[in-house]
Amino acid sequence: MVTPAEPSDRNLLAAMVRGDTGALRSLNARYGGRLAALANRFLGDQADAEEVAADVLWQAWRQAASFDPERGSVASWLVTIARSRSLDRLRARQARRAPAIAEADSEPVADPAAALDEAHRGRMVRRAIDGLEANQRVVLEMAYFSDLSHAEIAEKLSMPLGTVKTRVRSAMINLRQALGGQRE
Amino acid sequence: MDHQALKDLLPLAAIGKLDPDEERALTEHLRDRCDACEGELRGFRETAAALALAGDDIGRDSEARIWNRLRARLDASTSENESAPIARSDRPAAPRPHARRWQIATGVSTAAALAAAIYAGVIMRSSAFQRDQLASLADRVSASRAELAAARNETAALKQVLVERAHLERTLMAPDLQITRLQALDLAPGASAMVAVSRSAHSAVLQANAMPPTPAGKTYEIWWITKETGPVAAGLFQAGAGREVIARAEPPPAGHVILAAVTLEPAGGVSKPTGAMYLKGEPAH
Repeated sequence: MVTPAEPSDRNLLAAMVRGDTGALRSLNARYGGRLAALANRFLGDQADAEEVAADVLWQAWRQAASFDPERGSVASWLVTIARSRSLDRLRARQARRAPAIAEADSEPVADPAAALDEAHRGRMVRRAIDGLEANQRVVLEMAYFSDLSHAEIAEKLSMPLGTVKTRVRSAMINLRQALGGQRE
Repeated sequence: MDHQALKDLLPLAAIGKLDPDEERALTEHLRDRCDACEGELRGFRETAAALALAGDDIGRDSEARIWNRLRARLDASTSENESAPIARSDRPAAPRPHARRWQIATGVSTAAALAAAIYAGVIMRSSAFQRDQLASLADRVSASRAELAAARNETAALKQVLVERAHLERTLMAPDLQITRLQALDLAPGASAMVAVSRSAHSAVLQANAMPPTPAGKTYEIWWITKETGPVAAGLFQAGAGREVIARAEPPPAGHVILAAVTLEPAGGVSKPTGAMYLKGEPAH
């Protein structure tokens, strides 16, 4: 969510195409921490997660001109890259280390307006996630925030494969309905 | 695969969880320009992005560290460009020796004047911009302060939920995961619960739905009941109306656990069960 005074994500990308490093900094302020938090859920390592977030934003900086709004929003573009890079990194080190999920940190936030935006958006989405049936939510979170295949999730939860797929699909459909129209 | 079957793949495609055969079929279908499915897929990608970005706070230190990494890359990229050899056709022709000193003097003074003008312009624009920004920020700060206090409280509560959920997920993903499903007894009609245990991670988490709200002065208490030692207290939790409960518990003690149970006890908990049983289940062995 962007307040009226702030440039949209797409405007920031357009400025980045022109070489405006301030726009990259703004994009980092908007997404850097959350991309790192997302990567941290896969990697369980803050430094690695920040490196992934920097990789994602660096890719956005270099490929801003090729961003295709027809395919989705800037947020979904960044998240897709972040998830893919996190999984690559996780797979690369999987032999050495088991996956972990980071707990939310408790650092203070400095910008009240940004904190309010964050809290508001977080509340809306969290409410939608909480509104899912527990069995759908657990399966969706396992499917999305891990490298486990549906078959592996089915095995872990002692559940038929078809049930896992149905629950993930239903969870996504229900979540989408609950979030309808909230994003750009 | 018919169109409906392909459409059913879209939510899974948005989170990158298709089997190779399914992925191939859907890619071919989208290549044939099915606008309806393209649109649906776009919508599900936004849903996945919302799921991915929900809930976690932005750590300002983390943001600053990411920016430092980016700045280092920008600097490296700039110096690479600067040190790159200029293509022959782009090189300016070398000035003749006798004209060179005059050209340098003229160039220096022009450059200095230009730099001064740019500097003055930048400073003026920058000061005005910063003043506007400060004024706008001050307005936003004063308007937001009260809301922020409320948001912080809510964020703290959400953070706690996230911490517990992360703990649950970590337990669920442990290689030695064991799940004990608890049945609702007469006092908890409609409730459902499970306890996930990982001995290697030394963790156990109870997840319950539709528990009756905890009465004042009471607490729910989780028990492991072993053949050898009887009931062993494993943790306390509170339930609110219509709220899901995720509560950490002690993993089962050594010995043959024959039952997991939840009873209602006086606030603070007890060392042996005294109250009514609400949930019970036999661990899988």
